[in-house]
Amino acid sequence: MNESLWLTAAVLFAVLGMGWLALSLRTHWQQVCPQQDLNPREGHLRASGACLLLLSAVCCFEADHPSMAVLVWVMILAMAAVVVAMTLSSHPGLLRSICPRAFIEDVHSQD
Amino acid sequence: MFNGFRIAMTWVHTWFGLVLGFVLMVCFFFGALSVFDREIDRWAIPETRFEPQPMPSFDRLLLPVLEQQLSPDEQEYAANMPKLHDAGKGPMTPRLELPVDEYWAYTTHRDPVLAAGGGFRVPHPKDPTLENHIHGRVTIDPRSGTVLRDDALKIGSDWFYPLHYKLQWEWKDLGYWIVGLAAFSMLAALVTGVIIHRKIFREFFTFRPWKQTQRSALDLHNMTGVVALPFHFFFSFTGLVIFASFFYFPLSHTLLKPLHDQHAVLEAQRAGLPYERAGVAVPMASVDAMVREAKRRWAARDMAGEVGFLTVTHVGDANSFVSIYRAGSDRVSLVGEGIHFKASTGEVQYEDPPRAAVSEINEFLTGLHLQHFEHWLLRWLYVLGGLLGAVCIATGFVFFVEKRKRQHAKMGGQGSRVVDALAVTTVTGMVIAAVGMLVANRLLPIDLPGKGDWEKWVFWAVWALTMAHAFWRSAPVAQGRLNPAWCEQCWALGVLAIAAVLLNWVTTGDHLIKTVFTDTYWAVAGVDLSLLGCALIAFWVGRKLMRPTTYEKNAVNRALALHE
Amino acid sequence: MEQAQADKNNSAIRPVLFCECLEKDGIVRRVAAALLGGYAFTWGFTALGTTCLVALGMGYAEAEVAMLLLAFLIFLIVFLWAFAAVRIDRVWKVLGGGAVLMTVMAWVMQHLLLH
Repeated sequence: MNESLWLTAAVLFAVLGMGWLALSLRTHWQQVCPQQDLNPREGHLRASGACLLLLSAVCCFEADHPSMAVLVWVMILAMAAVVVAMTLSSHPGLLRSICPRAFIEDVHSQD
Repeated sequence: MFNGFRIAMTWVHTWFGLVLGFVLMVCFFFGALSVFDREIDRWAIPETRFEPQPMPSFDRLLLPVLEQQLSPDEQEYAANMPKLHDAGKGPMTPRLELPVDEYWAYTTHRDPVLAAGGGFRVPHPKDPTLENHIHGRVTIDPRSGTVLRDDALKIGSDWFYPLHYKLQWEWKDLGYWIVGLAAFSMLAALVTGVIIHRKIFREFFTFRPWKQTQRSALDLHNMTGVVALPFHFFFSFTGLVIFASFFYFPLSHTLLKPLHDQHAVLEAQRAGLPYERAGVAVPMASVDAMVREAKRRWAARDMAGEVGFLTVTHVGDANSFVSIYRAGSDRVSLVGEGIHFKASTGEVQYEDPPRAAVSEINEFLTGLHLQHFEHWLLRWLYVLGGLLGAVCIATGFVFFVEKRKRQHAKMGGQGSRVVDALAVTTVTGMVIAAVGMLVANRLLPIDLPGKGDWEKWVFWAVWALTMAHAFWRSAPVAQGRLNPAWCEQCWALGVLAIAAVLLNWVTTGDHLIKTVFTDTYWAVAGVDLSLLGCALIAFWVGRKLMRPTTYEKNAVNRALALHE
Repeated sequence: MEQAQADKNNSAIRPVLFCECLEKDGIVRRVAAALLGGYAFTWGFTALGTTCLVALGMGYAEAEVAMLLLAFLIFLIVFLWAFAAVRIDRVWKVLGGGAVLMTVMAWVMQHLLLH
């Protein structure tokens, strides 16, 4: 049971991390937030996204024998990337909801 | 600056990918099905729908069955006996009188039934240095020791699984070579693909279904290729490595045979396991006691486990020994940690030493491909990886066709038409053939002689039919339009998949409410649910293909606006 | 400096050359060189590598496995190079020559190891 909890966490972290990485790319950000007045903090998104992917790896290593965990992690990353890509193409708005306020800078509020 | 280089790499990617892509589709799709081969077996052979069993008692259950009911395979006897037997030393020993030389039994954590078999000795061989065995095998119900009918085809592990590495093309082992070439082309296609695809990171998550088919197919091709790049690379690579020493680079059987043999003899001397029979009949001690000792030794090494593979070599002879291997269900490497016992006394003769680093890497690589481990999430992720590979190749075909079909239409060429028809055959056609085989499995009467052969024929016939249909309907491609076979085969697939689920219910009484909720049996439920999922996707795609795409609608709107 | 200039000229005419090669040699010859030449080269490389590792004291089985793991990567590199190379006669020289040379060396090496 413990194992499946760790693996669930690994999947969630991977999807969230991939989502943030996608948002750090300009073209995808524009898909998610077509308004001109919101800009992403790209560096923050990229760094946090990468950290989440690492966290996902840690969860995998908690769940399984290391040799197995490597495989599980790589495959979870692939799945997460597909999930994010498909969400971007069908419901880009959903990705908006996983982007924390802290990663968005409001161009107007700075004026 | 890299223009010439890039052109060359694009050429390799396009043409090797296209020509061998059709083979790769088979490898990836049936490879993905092979992840659940044992579960498909349960679906196809309803009398084996019970829980997986550990290795049963050898002394009480297996040995009596093997002694009484195992016999050399008729076909193998007919084919190999005349080749192996030395006619100068007397007449050929009749099939049922061949003396047994070897027993084996193999099971995994997913097998309710046990595969067992043996090798029978050719008494007067032409070349005594060869193995000189005629083999036989049985499938045993480990709960009772009854031998199950052998002509029930294990559709998962004896059809879909071998299809993905040898295409069932036995003649001259050509199937292995074609698959090998295809796997190598996959490696080349991956490397060249990365070279061609400049915006690999900027377009990492990009899929734009609303763009024209050529562009969105390329998006999907890039995305499915890139996100699962490690999977694609390592599965093609390890697939090659698994067969390398047998087929692709058989150095040990050819150029380096003397060196190999010398080391094999040294190794055998070190292990002390006799290579030949002594010729003195000696009864066998309790194998169950040896199994207990092996388990005790594994537990002492902090890797307690079950028996996965057991062999008895030189049965009934003074030189006989028993090898017991641990099932590798908790790690990536396969069965291993072999412990060998002297059969006459039951004492440990030799323990496999810990593997050296290189062998450890090799075991990991082959193990990750052959996946004997118990990890359901990873199994499903492998299915996903295999299907992503198939999507990557199929969208490659679509891109190839879309890029050229208008030009071909203008010039009156038929190239894109042929490629498109072959793409239909290897995308929807292949899935229809697989599902059609399952439908045939449920429709054909259970006592039909050679039922398995009929199922194979249905598989090929249905596939050939889809190909004929794809070519017959392909005329619109030559005019730059879509082949209606895509859509029609999607509907056919949906109907067949639903039919398979219903037929399973009608013929066995195992409907989804029973297999999921009241009397849970995930092997059958999983196959049924996957079939339903397949049907849903097929209907959805079929409906989509009947309507004009968003891009086409927009194009029509633009044209109308211009007109006004 | 001169070398750099030569490289630059070379790369400028590369696309033309490559296309010419395709026409002149025929693509069949290019594919044959990549597949057959590459295979033979890899065969020799694997054989020689195995005997060398055994000579260095590694067990035969292990040496073979190590070289087979490398074999497909080597094959992949020479395969792609056979397409990327400007002149096909050079591809044949390197791959064919290498294959023969390494196979013979492996054979001699095996002979020395056995006696």
